[in-house]
Amino acid sequence: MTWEPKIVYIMCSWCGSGGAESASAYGLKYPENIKPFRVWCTGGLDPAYILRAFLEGADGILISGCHPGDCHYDTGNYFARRRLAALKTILKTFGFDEDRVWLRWVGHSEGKRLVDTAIEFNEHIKKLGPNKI
Amino acid sequence: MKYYKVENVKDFLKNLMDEKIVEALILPLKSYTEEAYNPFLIKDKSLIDKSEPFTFCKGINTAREVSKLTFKGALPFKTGIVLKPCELRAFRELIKLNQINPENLVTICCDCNGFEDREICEMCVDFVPDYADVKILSLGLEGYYIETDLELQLEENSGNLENIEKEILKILDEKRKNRDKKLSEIKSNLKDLLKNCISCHNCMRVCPICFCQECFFDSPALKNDSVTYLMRASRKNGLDFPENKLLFHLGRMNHMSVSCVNCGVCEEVCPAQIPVSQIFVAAGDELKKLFNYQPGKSLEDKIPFTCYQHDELHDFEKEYK
Amino acid sequence: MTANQGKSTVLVYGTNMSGYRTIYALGKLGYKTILLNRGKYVDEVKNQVLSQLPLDLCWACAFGPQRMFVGLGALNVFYSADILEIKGTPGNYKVKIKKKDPYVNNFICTECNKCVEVCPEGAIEVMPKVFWENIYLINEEKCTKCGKCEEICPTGALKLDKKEEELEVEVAGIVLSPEYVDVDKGDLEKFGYKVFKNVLKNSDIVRGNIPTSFVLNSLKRRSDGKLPQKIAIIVTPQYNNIEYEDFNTTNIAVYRAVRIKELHPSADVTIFMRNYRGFGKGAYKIYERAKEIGVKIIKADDVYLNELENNDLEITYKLAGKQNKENYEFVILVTGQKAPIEEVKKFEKLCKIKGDNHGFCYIEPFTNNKTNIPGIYAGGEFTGPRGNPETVWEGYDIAQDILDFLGKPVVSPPQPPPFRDVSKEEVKIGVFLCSCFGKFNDKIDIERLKDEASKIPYVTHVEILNGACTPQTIQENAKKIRESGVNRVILAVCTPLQKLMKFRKTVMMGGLNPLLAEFLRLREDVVNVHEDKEKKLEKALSLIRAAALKLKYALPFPGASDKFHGKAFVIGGGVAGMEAAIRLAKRGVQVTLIEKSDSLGGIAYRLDSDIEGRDLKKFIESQIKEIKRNENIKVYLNSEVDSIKGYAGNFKIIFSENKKITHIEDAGVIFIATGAKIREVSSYFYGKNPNIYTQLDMEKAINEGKFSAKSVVMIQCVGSRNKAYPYCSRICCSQALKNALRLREKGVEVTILYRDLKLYGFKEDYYKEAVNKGVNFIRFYDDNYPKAGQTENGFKITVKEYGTDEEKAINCDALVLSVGIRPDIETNKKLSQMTGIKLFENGFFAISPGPFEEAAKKLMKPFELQTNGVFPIGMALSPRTVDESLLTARQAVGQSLIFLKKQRLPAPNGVFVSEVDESKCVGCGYCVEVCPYNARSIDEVKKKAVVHPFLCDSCGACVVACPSGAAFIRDLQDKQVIASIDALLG
Ligand code: SF4
Ligand code: SF4
Ligand code: FES
Repeated sequence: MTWEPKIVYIMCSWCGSGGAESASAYGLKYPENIKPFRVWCTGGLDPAYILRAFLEGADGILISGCHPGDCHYDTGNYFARRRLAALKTILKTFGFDEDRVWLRWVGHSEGKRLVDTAIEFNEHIKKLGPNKI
Repeated sequence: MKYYKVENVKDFLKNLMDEKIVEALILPLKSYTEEAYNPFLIKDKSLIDKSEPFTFCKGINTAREVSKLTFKGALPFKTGIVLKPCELRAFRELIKLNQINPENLVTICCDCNGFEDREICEMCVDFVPDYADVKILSLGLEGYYIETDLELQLEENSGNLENIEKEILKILDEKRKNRDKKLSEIKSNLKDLLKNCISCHNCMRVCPICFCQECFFDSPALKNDSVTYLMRASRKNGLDFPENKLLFHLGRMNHMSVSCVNCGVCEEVCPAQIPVSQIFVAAGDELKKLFNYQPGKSLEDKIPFTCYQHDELHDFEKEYK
Repeated sequence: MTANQGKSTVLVYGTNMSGYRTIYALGKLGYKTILLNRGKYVDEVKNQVLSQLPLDLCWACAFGPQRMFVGLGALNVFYSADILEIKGTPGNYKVKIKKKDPYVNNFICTECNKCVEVCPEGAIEVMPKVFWENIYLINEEKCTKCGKCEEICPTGALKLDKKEEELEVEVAGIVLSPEYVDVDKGDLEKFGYKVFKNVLKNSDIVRGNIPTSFVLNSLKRRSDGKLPQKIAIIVTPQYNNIEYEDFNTTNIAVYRAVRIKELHPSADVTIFMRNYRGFGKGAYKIYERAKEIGVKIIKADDVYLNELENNDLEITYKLAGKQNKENYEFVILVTGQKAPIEEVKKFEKLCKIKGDNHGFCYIEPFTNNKTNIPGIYAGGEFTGPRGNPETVWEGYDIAQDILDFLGKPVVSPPQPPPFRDVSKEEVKIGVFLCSCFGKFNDKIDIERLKDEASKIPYVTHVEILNGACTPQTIQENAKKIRESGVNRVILAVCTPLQKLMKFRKTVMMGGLNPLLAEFLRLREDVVNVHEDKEKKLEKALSLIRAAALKLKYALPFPGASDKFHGKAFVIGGGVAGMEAAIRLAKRGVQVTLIEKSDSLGGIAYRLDSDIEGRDLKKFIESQIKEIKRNENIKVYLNSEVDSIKGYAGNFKIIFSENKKITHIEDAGVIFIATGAKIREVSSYFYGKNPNIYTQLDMEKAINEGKFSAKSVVMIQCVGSRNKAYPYCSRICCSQALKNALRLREKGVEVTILYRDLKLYGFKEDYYKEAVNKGVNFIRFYDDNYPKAGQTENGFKITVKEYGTDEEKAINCDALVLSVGIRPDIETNKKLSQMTGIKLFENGFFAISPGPFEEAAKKLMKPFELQTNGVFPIGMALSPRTVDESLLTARQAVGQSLIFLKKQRLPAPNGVFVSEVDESKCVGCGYCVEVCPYNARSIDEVKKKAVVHPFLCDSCGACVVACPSGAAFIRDLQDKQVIASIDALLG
């Protein structure tokens, strides 16, 4: 069997998940190995979870929330951006491939953007190969 | 700001008690084993003679202990705490984190050229006691100068201070060089440095900033059931124990390295001789640059994770075209 | 409908956002509404939100109320509906309406598509992507009523027996909120819209890019698909008589330009507009950014378009009298709205409401929503050009006004059935797989999924469901849950965003606390978005495994609530503060109003009339009288706040009167109406020469008969819209025009020197009048203010004219400066510290719906307490006119009434609320800092964090911020997340 990246797609319950729902309504497709996980808001996403997933062998972690300014809880995604910036900076300093963690905003209606993102990320991770931790 | 010249720091401390500027002091005293120095809280000024105000108490950051002291409320009387600059930073950071009630506390801090056998001191570029209530200056001087806003019944004397700046710049230059050298060494094999960790979590336990009751990385949240262990083992080509070593270090770093004051007690207590503190410098510097934040300085500066700007950090957002 | 219910029902005609918001607020207050949607489905009639939203953001939450209250039975929506007749009296209207129910009830439809497949005529059309669902419509012309679709529809959502019906409803009041009248080809002839290929409306671009948001592709030329380099943006209402612009229109143009430059930096972007009319800090920032990144702004007097052979556009524009020409490859029109003339006429006939002289609905002076007929209200774009924020505010305003005619509330939120105590039981998980009425059968091997799922640890029961979202299946499924004996439930279904309430209800009716259930999106995450059946099965299984582990650690919880104090406290006795107090008192709320000075009335009391010529003094005097008369209002003059403690619903305010007597008051909500001050001036010899006036000084001088100048020069924006005061005061342009017209009547010569004339809405009329009456206007450059020299008998003003760069000199006897206003910074700072409501650097409270950051998001969020029960209103928010100030006060009253009458408030999401594990909390306050709703504070005695449940929306920010793991949300505890992610990784 060919290797398929293990990818967790973390989305907020509003725009991120909404994007996934629009994608389904538009009938768009993306790779099966991308597994969604919902949090209420990206601001409620503890980087420790991402870090752990990363260290536990996830090949890629994709995060989508509402566009800045559009968070359902107003400010969650601004904090999320700071937290993730910190995490990625640390990973990079340690020589890990911080590009296995992506943050891209996806609006509720932006199903195409979500699917494009999933596909693009999958390709990107395939190029990087398995996460050898 | 006023300046005074003193010959002897112990006398000066006694004088502070005499003048009732402070009624108690926290400073390093010989411990009962007579072998090491620990911070002591004293009310009796004669004990000052047994102290070593400027020594470093191994494995202890005084700020952490002060936070316990004021946890249930402010101290009832003026208390002086004698701190090293790194401890002072921890002290101030803990005020921001609501872990120290600064009321009635008088910080007394000396400039500091580092201590022997402490590698972190060799890299320290922040050794001048900014923000202390009583600053004791000695570098490049004979005797000591006191810089303070407090009214002391001593004769003001701001005599011969030019030397200080020169000396400081000289030391700074040297330390910068050390720091850069060390950091490039460290950064070349960061991951490997952690491989000897035995997960004792001592570093976290002595850290002044790690004030949590229970560390997330010690918490039941990370304990799996047996099935999951097996699953993880097969996913990762074998699970190495003690588990979660990297998770602990990177995770802890993610939690608090923006507030890390580089005091170095963590590496002092590490049984596996991991240069924890230096690793924190390596990563922490990047974060502090990212958020433009200096821990333990102005109380106005918000801790980076409690604030944000609308328009920032776009490099971390993946652009969609 | 019984007569009794009619007393508690309101009819809302049309779907603009004010109508939606009225429905929402009334629903929360326990009243019923009937919504007449003139379209065949929810989104058919275009809504303002989308056409006018400045940002390329999502907008779906705006329609939330519809979903929510239909579910509660508080709202009845009629489609293809209209009003035929209105009879009766205020409070007792009998309205004859016509409606036609849609053939497919989209609340039940699962989009199985079977009807489309079976229809021999191809008569069933799918309106794709209305929000997150597709809407099925039957084309009447093609349909032969053969009945095949109805037969095959598994849910009973499709019924062919729908006819146009007429019925009479009894309602207490009527709200007219028809949608925005958009401009189209004919209206935009001048700009070649729909004639020239490369001319598009901004709203087309926004709409067309919903699936991706604004990307480079959106900019491709329609003629040849090439990416244009030279792009023009035209603000059409400024060049087109039939269009009206709201305050935000020019901002939209600037925003679009900035977005283009960001995506396509090498593009050359030019905006054509006559005047820039944005105000507020957000607007100023983006305007500055536009200039910084090289967007060109040409303040042309007029523009004409011509298409060239290669489909480029030639724009001819007039600038200070001169003609210029320039070619562009692509043109974007930022358009305005038309007057709803037809609709107004219709209602003139139906219920005798009046139109105004522009063709919008007439509104009584000093109100924001009252038509000339009592009991009939109008809101949003129907009453004048409107931006999104005001439209929503008007909805709250109408809701609180219409209470005059309403009886008792009749709708109360349903109480959940008692839950089973499962604490002593072993974990038994039931997996319920929805087949979507068989739709999934050929897309995933659901039988095998069932077999495999039953092997997952802790799963004791697996069952395939027919459906999960129709009333009948909900009943059945609840029974199945009960009978299976499981104590945790995984429902593998579809969109929780749309149907969450139904699924939760199923679980609750099954006797389980909703925290014991997980809802998987079998449809959105698996069935619909992948091709490979085998892989779909695998993915579904891993999602179920993750959910099972999450449920293993689930902790049920009864939910939290807290007490809410029903009094209000108003700080400031200007127009806004008084209005808030009066409105609250009218609804039986006890109000304490304190005023810093020794009299009520505030800054507006110093103006005698406004540009519309209405008698302000009289209005304010009537307010003052009412304040003094009303027993529910206690007034303290010469009083200032010393401290505010507590949180929404539980404030304790200490204030002192005459600096001597100290008072303590409890309150549930606080209104901050600190108003504004006339800004001090130091430039242009002000104060050194008696012939230099501010607009206000001059008004006073005229009134006292002391003004004798024969020629006057007015300089606008003195000390405004610069780095120190980066906002427009919003009132000076009108004030200057008003005074200029007055002076012209006396034959005085008037010249107005200005940067931009911020005359949005109808105010443009006064500009035209002024030009006709001979007022002279000269525009100067933003960074080159006119210079004034004193001469023997007056002043010599020199100014470099915009466009011509000509130096002009004008002599005058009097110089009048429009200096604008500033907030009461000292007081605002103090109050900001006490309440935690942030201030902008300029001293206004920072919750103002600035045209950008906040306009779209905050106002659509149904969360009135998000500012912790503190409502800055009037000029404490930003500079505004009297009417706008009144609106802020009234809408805040509308918001707060939703809570003030309740004694206890539950958490908005019931059991989903953040909590504190006291044994772990170290009182660091990290969580307090990040909570967007002020739902947390530190108990200073215990040194532990506390949660105020009804303020918590369960976002989880505190959980992440908390370093000790003391803050937690029950349905996303650390171990749940970690275990689930582990399972997903496999
Ligand atoms: S979950 Fe969100 S709203 Fe609730 S207390 Fe925590 S931060 Fe505040
Ligand atoms: S962040 Fe955590 S430890 Fe700190 S106060 Fe809040 S709940 Fe307590
Ligand atoms: S809710 Fe989507 S990012 Fe906050």
